[in-house]
Amino acid sequence: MPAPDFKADRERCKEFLRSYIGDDGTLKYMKMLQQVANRKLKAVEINLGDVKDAKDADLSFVERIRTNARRYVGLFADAIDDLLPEPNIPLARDDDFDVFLSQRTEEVPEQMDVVDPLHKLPPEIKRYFEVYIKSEDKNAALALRGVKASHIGWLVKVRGIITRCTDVKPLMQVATYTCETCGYEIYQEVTSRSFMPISECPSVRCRTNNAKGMLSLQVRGSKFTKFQEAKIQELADQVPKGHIPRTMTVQIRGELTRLVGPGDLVEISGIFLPTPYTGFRAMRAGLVADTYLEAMSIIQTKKRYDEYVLKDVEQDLIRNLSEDGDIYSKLSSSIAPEIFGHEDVKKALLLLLVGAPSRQLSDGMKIRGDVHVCLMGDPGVAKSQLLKHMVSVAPRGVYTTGRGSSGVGLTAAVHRDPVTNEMVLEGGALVLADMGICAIDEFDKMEESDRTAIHEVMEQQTVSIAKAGITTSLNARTAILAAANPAWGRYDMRRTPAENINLPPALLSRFDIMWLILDRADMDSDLAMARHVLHVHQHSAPPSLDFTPLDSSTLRAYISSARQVIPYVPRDLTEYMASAYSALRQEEAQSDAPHSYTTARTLLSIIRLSEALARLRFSNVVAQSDIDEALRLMQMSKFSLYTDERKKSGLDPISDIYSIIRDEAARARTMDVSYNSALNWISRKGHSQAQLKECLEEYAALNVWQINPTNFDIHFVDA
Amino acid sequence: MGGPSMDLYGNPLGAVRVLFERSCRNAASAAELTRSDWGVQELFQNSLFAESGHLQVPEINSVPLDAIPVNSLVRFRGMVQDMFDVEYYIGAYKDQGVWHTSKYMDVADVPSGSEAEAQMWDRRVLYCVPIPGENSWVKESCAAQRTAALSTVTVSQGEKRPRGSSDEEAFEAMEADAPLGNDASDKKRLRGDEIASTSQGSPAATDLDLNMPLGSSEGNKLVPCLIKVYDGQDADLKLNDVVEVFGVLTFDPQISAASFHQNNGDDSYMDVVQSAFLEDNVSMRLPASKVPRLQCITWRKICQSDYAHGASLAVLPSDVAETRKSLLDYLTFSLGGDALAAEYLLLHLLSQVHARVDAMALGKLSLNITGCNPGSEGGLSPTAATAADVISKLVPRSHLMPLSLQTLNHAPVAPRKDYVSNRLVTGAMQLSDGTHLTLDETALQAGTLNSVGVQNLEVLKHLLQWQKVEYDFQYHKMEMPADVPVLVLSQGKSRILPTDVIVPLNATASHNPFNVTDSDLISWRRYIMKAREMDHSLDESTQKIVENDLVAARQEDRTLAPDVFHRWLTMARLMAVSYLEPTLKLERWRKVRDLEHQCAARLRCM
Repeated sequence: MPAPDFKADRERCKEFLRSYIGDDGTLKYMKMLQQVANRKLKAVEINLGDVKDAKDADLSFVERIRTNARRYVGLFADAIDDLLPEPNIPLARDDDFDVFLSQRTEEVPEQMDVVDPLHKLPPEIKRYFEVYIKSEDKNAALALRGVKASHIGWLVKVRGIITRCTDVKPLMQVATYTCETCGYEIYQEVTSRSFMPISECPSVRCRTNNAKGMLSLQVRGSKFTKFQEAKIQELADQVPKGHIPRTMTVQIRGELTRLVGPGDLVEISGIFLPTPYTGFRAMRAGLVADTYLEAMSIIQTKKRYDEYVLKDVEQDLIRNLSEDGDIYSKLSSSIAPEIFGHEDVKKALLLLLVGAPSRQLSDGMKIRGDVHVCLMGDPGVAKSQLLKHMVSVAPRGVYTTGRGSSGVGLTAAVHRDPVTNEMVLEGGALVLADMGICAIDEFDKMEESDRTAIHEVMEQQTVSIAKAGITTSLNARTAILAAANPAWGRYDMRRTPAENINLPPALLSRFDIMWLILDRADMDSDLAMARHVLHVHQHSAPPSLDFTPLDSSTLRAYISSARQVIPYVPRDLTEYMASAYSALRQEEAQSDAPHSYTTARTLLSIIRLSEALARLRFSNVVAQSDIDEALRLMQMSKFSLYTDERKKSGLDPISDIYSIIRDEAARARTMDVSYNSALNWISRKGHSQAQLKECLEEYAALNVWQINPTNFDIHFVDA
Repeated sequence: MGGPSMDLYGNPLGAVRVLFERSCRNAASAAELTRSDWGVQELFQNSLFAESGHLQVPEINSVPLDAIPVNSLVRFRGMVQDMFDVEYYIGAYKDQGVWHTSKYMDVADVPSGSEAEAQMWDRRVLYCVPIPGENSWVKESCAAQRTAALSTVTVSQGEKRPRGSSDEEAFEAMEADAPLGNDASDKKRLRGDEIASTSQGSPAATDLDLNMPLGSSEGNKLVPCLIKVYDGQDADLKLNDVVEVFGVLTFDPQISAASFHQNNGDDSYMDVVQSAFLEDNVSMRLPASKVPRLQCITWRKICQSDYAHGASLAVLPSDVAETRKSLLDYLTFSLGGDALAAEYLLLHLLSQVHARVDAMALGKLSLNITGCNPGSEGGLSPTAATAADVISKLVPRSHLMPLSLQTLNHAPVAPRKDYVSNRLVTGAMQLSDGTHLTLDETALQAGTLNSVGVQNLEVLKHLLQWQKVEYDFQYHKMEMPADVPVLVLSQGKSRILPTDVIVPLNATASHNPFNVTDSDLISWRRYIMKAREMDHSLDESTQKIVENDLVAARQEDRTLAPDVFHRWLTMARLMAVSYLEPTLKLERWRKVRDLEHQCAARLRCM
């Protein structure tokens, strides 16, 4: 391999800076340099992707930069020194930096005869700017354990969590001394963390006079840079099972300092460098060298749905999926596939993940788009498992229990920082789950203070705090998934639902859907359970499902792209929705013991659910089928709570179905009813397709209606 | 050039050097050297495992540390407790035109100014502790094996090393100018001095947290090790794995002297300058006298059968019933004559997690024996003491933990990451798979649990339920799968710890003393190992009957939850393997149901 020609490469750097045209058609870097000259910008960030994209780009040049980045930072800095234009706005000349600089440049001419390299002004001290080379945006970040010894000197990009970081301290870049004998200024460039100060004046005059001039360090004349150290740790998902996350030291200089704090998720591109031990430590360390990452760019990553970047493969997959007709049930059954049954609950949970867009009205009022779901049920019906699975599917999910283990609890707490003695605000689970979902187990056992706060979170989506002189309100735009046990541990059939559900109505009405999962006794489910358990023990694996569930990453990708859609309810459907709502209200008014609280919130819930359903179809417009499905889900959830109601009505399902179809047909003043709309109507009331078939056959035999043998459409026979 | 004539055990580095130089001759460029391990592993593995030469290698912790010459091959049996960060080191350097390697070394005289010609390689550093909870019989038998092996080998080894073989001469010649030399005696003396000085004078070194999960119960005899692993050999090494490492024991007086000084805080100034983080290179802070360094050449996982020590595991079928019976008798005797509890205890001892389905750990059978009397004055319950004693005689690793307020509140049992020292601070629940845990709940008295205590109980509950321990990484928790059978002994039914089975103890009159011979113990241990290794299956016809049984049972009793079914099937499996039967026979299934009926009847009486 021939030695790289740095002189030529410096020219290349110059040429690139001079000629690169950015996306907006201007000279991107020259514009940047002008700003630098005007003292408006300190950091010159060179994107390696730009170097690659530049016309007549030399790929081996890019590769040289990547594998020897530290050297090229210097080359680029030299190139910028040469290219730096004159400032085109007047500068306020009052900081120390300028005073020193002008003094120094004035001094030079009168001592032209002295040719002393140590006396020459190092370029570093004149620079007002800092150069960073950034890795291409497109390149995926490495896991920390992917960084190997072979990467030393390279520009690498890693992702991780910051675990510790130090205060920002000044780090000397150029030490300036003055000689007491000859009065010269001597400069010393510092490249490592420690340096040996010069004590004897090396200038020509002192040396020839053998004066051994004493040097004293000029703090004001030296150049310092901001310096911070941080520790980055691998993310949990990058760690293979049974291993410990690895860590790496990151050195942050200049403008990049103060960008991170402990607990931040970051993507850092930087140069991976060794620091061989020197002096005493070298002896101690033997052959070992410490390594660190010199940060070149730091990006905070907080993964939310809207920041989820899809890979090409995923995009194709999603496109294929969305063309699949049955995507709704396919997605919903992929939620916790190992939990048997509960199709409708899973559908509701899917809608919770998708959510509806939140609306801001012109008067500033906000209407939430997050769908809240409450699951109630006997112990041991896999509620907690459902919750945990949901949290794992959502990009940002927090699982907590009503009795949160930490002192911060669900909302937020103010406490005193032990180090700085300042009051700090620490967000609880709900705040942490902002823009995500918050699964709260043991919802009924929540503390009273949290319960009050949750009212606000569920409707206004903020947490307000007024403690210890801090009054503030934090965003908590989170969809809440709650799980609660019935009041007496097990659901007591002899008591009313309201008694069993041990939650105040004000809280209950805030849930869009509330579901009761009971452990009911019937032979079929027992057999299914026995089979399942046996299968698990026999094959050490859960029984294979009759479909292949989508893995959670696909699910996540699909949902995140569905969330980009902002659907609306078309005008011609508003009437339909309103009539459905008023029917619900009426139904409630008629029953003597209303169990449910149908309020305006219910209407909003219907809209939210139907919008979420439209999102799943990637449609901007809510269709009638969406509203029907939303109504059906709400009805099913009600039935799960009030099963006895149906039985009390006295009608057997078959005649009930008949009366529904008859009423609906009468309302529409038609003799023809399509099978699909019939199915919609009856499923809203909680009947099954099998029962509909049975009903159709039975009444066709009575010659009440005729059934189209191919598509099962109904035609009423004139009486 | 052949392997056997090299002194692999006495001078492993010499062998490495020979192999390195050989591949240097073949390699075109320096980069090529990084890619292979020059056949080092193969050579050592052949010699160690094929000819069972591994028994000749001295084992740290069974031989005093200062009796082992530096730079010789040693053996270490331990559990991976922590994984440190990657260490980058100068692996090869060119001196006067010749490549030298410093792999498997801590120090070498790399000529200064040759940085350009040095190759930077990486190695992993693992922190291994002596196997927590290992029972004394295992150690004894290991030691016995080694002495046996040595006595047979010494003669042949003498023959094997004829001075004058050409290879050997080449070796000696090389060693003469080798940077490390072989003046082991000199270094040994230095090391001895240091050990003396650290143990006498410096509290700093003794304070050092050695991170032994269960503490060092036997005084400070056992030492942990820093294992440096090369060539990505650690890929399938996981945390809490029990391994046997073969490597070069290195010791450098300068390095450890320096670290010793640092412990005394002499050079705090240097630290400020060098790095703001104290933890940089943790390994530097551990004194080599307390934590020996091992340059791992090869390793292997220790599995159950290693404890059988070559003796054939095949037990004759006629013996099985007999062995099972005698073991059951012994357990019955230990539990005060309760045969039912003894059956359960036997099944419990055989239980292990054999698969994980979703979150569920299949095959675990935690047992709660109720009705145990508390010990006098907060001491151990007599039943717990006996049970723990019996178990420690039967299984390789076990631990007894009194569940008193004091122990619960004292320190977290789950390991947690300390970012200040950059280490995984261990807890009592960092146990290797198969370690048996006995919890004595009778020690618990009324009082307040602090937050540590509450968290500890949560950890124990989680372990019982899912066989997982959550390690606290401050910013997130990491679940580590565990396989720790837990026996809970309590006065009443344990309300705190949810176990799979609850058996009220029904101790009858005291029995005649039971004589246990060593040969009994050995055959029982073998029986347990064999049973735990058994594979098990369920055939179609039995499956049908079991299925019907389950449905019928549920029709009868609505409260039967799926976990009861899981328990029955797990017990059926264990019952079958306890007879060393590969498939479930109906007879065994009925027996399980019968046991469960008896147990349920007892529970009702309570």
